[in-house]
Amino acid sequence: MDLSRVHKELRECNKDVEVSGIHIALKSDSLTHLVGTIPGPLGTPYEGGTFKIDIILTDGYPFEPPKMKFVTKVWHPNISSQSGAICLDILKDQWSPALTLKTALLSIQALLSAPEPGDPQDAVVAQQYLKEYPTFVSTARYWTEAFAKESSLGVAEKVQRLVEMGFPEDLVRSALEAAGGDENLALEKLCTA
Amino acid sequence: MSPAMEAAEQAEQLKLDGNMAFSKSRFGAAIDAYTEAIALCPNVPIYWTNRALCYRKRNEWTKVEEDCRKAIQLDHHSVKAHYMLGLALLQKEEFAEGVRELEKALDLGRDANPKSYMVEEIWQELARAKYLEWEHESTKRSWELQKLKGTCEAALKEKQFLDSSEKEGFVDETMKANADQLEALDRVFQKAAEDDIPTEIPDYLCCKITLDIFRDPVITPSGVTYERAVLLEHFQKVGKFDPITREYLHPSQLVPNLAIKEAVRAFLDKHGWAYKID
Repeated sequence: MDLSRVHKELRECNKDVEVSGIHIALKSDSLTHLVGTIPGPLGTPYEGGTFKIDIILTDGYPFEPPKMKFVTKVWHPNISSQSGAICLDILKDQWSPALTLKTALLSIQALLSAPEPGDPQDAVVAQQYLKEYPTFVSTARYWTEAFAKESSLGVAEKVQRLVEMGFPEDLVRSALEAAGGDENLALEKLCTA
Repeated sequence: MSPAMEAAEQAEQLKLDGNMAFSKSRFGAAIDAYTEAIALCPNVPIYWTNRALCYRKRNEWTKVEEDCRKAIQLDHHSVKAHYMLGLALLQKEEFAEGVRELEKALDLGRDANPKSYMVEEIWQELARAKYLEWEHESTKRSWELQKLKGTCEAALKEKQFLDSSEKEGFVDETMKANADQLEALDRVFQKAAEDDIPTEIPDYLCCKITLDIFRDPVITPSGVTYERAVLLEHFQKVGKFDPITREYLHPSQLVPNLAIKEAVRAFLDKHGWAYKID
């Protein structure tokens, strides 16, 4: 892997985070596991949300696409509501080494603005998008409120409820984050830990 | 079999023995084998460069230089001979000569195989030498400027003091003018130091794939310029298309971008800090 390029990419991307709102952080000490952050596009059900994307770089990078999936739960025809897997051509056969992590994240942000239900990743969401558009919009907006807003009441309340059950707060927060904000999943994790 | 052919065959066998010893890091034995091969067939450049490589491992740089010079006499196009001669000269602190040999090796190496590890290795050595030179020179320059600035400031203040004792009145205006002059002097010296302050390399001198300053730029029919080695890797691993325009692209369509190469050279001559490798 071209480490020097990845270093430069991170520096470049994080330099104008003020303008783009897109940020990339290290997940561990190595440069192979990263976390990208994109703001939900204005005028969409994702507006106001902050979406985290797990990024794994293989040895072949930049001649192989980065592996990206949503960590934050999101309701969108081209993103799996279960696994966060993303259906986007440039992350597959349309990848080019002239693309960067930042341009890939920008493309994902564009995908949030312009779903392509004809080429779905999540068939349930896609059906809803096509047949019951208003329901789709309200569900997507609800998911944004529930999972993509750190400051939203949701998280604070979830933390409080779980803490009241007797779990330490730092564990609760990390469990909630790992579960993408899903309270029940977090509780499961806390109980089995 | 003629005696000459017999000698050649024997020498080849000795080279193989030498290579075997070298691969086991037994450099003394390898040197002995190559020396015997040279005695039998002194006109085969590889025997000389192989022995030079052993001397390099033992840090016997004078001998590296001798063997490489001999090899170059026999074969002007030997990448290894020019490369190791360059290293030997840098060791002797014959900087300009050493850099010239490395550049020669780089050009020859690229002609032979632009993607080879040798090319990358030679570039690294070259960049390191150039960076060290810049560090040395820029420290000297900065020290000289600092000293000169101190002297100029002192002289200016002295003059201002003498002027003010001759004139009476307008104290405020004079003080303002004096301060302005000192500030202007400061700006002049800041400007003079600018080239030596590491900043960003302009985007147009960087490859869109490596994101690094061009070394061997090639232009595609779409008009986009890339680093040659990385574009060849792209053909091999991704596909035969221009990475930005996605138009079909065949390796034979690549043309060296000499203008960008010159621009890079001019930039690096002025901003040696850009040789720094992450």
